[in-house]
Amino acid sequence: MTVVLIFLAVVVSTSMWWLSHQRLGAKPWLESGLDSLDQGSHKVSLPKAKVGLLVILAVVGMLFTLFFSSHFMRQEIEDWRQIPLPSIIWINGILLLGASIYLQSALVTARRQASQVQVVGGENPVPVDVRNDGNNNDSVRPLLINACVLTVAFLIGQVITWYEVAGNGFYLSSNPSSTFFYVLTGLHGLHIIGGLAVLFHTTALTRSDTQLHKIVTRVDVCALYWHFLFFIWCVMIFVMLGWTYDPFIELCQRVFL
Amino acid sequence: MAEIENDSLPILPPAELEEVELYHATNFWTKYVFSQDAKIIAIQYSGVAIAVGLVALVLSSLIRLQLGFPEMFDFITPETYYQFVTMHGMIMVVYLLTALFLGGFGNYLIPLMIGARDMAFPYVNMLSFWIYFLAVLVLVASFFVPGGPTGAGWTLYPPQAILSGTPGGQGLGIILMLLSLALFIIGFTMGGLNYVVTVLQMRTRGMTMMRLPLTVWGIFTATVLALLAFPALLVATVMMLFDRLLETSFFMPSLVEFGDHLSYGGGSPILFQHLFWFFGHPEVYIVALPAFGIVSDLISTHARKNIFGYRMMVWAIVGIGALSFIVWAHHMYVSGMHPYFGFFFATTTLIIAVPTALKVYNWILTLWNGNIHLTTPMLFSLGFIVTFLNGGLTGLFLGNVIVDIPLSDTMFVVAHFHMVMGVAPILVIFGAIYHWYPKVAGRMLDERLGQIHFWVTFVGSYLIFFPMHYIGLVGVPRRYPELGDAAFIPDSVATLNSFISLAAFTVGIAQILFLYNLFRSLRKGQPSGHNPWRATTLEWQTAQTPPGHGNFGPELPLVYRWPYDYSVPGASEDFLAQNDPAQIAKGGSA
Ligand code: HEM
Ligand SMILES: [Cu+2]
Repeated sequence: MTVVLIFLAVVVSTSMWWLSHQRLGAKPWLESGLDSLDQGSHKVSLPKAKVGLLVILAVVGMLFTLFFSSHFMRQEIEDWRQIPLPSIIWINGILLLGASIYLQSALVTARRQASQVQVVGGENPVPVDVRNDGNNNDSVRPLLINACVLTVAFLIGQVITWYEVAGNGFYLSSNPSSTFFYVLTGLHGLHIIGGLAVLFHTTALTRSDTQLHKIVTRVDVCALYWHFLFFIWCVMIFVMLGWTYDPFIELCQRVFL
Repeated sequence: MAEIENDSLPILPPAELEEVELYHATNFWTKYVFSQDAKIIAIQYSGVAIAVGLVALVLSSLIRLQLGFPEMFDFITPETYYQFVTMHGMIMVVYLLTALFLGGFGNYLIPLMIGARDMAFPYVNMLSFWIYFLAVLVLVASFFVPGGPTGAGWTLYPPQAILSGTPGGQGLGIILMLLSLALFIIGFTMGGLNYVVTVLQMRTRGMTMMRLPLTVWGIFTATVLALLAFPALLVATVMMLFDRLLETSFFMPSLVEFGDHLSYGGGSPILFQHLFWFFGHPEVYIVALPAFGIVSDLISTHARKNIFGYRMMVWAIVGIGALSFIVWAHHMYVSGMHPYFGFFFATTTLIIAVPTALKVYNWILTLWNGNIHLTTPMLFSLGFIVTFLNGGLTGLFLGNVIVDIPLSDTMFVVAHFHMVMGVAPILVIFGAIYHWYPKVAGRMLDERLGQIHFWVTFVGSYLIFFPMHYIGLVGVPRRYPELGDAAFIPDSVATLNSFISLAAFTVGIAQILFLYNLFRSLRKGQPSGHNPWRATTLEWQTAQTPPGHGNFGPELPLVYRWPYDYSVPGASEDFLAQNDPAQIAKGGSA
């Protein structure tokens, strides 16, 4: 459970850091008035969806950390036989990283375009593209589509990995090591699929001439989620390979010894 | 004493919040059934939780039938007894208390108390309820499958939970239980996301964190705990489902059952215990923190006094929340852990008693010299303090390794946890219902019936659980349908057991009075007006009672003060609502 406690410590200290900016030392019984307490304590200045995502990331992170912790505890028992992982996982990793990078550049593009859009009109403001080149979403859209394609390719790659591992004779219940392999990658895949649903929807939105500022938050949320899932994927592979993975140990030895 | 004068307040525009797109129901289905209005969802959550809680109450009577009058009822076999105990425990803890405090009170009170029109993600909120409902259906379905529900104990320890010797272990019982829990957790996470984001992002202007009513602090912190603790239960249920259905060996060691060598091998039952209690202990506080918060507000309102030490109360809630994650192994003292581990967890357990005791002192100091109105909510709050104190004291015993080892798995433990997380939170729930019912229904609950309900429930609970401590001390084990002729068990135990059972039936029947009151007052109750308790918090200041769609009128309320301005010297009334801009020079006190 050590890993869990470390993760928890990170979450707790982040929350405490935030709380410490909420004037917890105030004496609310002495101060009345609309804003007398407000100074210095601002509401989180992020969109709701982003805060929601951060909460989800904490929960998902907890979920995976608990699995990692269980993995560590279970691998201490002597029936554990480390299964080898096929090398296609490295390709999968690159695909997911690629998707992550595309999303990040989509975010940068969308933000830049949104900042070029001016809001005109008094009563009912209408965003108008100052560059006046028609569809705002032209340059964001291909980036999003690329991210979708790479992510789907990643999922296909993961399925191929499953086939290869099974082809080597390691089934779900052959050994705890293979059990964890299928369960962890499966769980990760489910999270990717959930994210893809949102990403597809966002991509579809860019087809029509939707207002850019609506896209920005969505792309932002997707990008953050993808980075997070890529990070989890790396940790997951690291945990599953264990310290037993020879090339890795060799690499370490070459670097550190 | 510092005198602080406030400058004259400018008239400010309403809260500068993100514009909320309020969802508008168009027909009966979207308005009352698939509603996205947090108030309706709250009522749905509460209704389902109370209904399934009644099932658990009936189960407890069946348990008591067997314990009080063993060998009298043929339909209670050891197997059915285990099933009753298991389902009773699980329903009470998860499907009643957690769902009612967070899904019920959380949904109703959070938006109203912080001055928001609704939750942050109303659609997700609706999904949350329906998934919870599905979880309850799956749970209830397990009563009707061949082999019946699981009898593994609410802790579901492997390996016995999925072996053929345990009722439901090889049938559908345990599978449905695990599925239902998984659904519950997914549904809860959706709701919890809403509660957290709503508190963080949707407070109205002037409502700083340090002006939140303690109810909101309690529910908020409990939700954070639940969001971080329930994944552990999810991981455990998923792994156990794999072990049961796909013959993996996460938890299952190699076993011989009736001469057959099972295909399992190497799994670790202790791993399950870690996961389960990593959820299980915070669960105690998931139930307790909302109760702490609510009781603080009830006491303050009904004693017409500000809460003593608001700041300390907030810190204590947050501190207890954080600490509750590092005490879980005090449930595992008898699992053969390293003695230093036991030492560590005993220490953390005792440390957590400090902020908890602090809260009790503050409640008492709030009551001190207060203008105590012995209304039903106040009675239930007082009952809570006494009961919680009682359970907390036996908790100090059980937290110490050497004391716990002989007491482990005896009726003493059962008595302890019923006091601290059974009776105490339930008393708060009753108090809270008597307090907020007028807001929800626009009518008061009948006060006389309420008083009778309180006294029977409170005294009855003591008659049930107080003698149980003694039964445990003489060594009677828990989860035993019958005691037989053990030499160490004196005859008085049997007499006491029958007595306890009679008390339990009385308490059970008294709840009918409560239900009757609940339904009768819908029509016949005295109209309550907007603010019958003359309370300060925002939910009492709505334009309509029950609050309409969007909670507040065209403008969101502005918050000028903390929620505990009762009996402020110099004020024209004995309370100042949070949105009351009046300026009163106040003296400082800690
Ligand atoms: C009238 C009210 C209640 C009565 C008479 C009652 C009685 C009992 C009895 C006799 C047992 C089983 C003892 C054994 O053989 O081990 C039990 C178990 C349990 N009860 Fe209650 N109970 C009541 C309310 C509650 C409430 C409100 C909770 C909520 C926390 C609760 C939670 C539990 C739990 C967690 C167990 C343990 C189940 C297990 O051992 O697996 N009970 N109860
Ligand atoms: Cu505990």
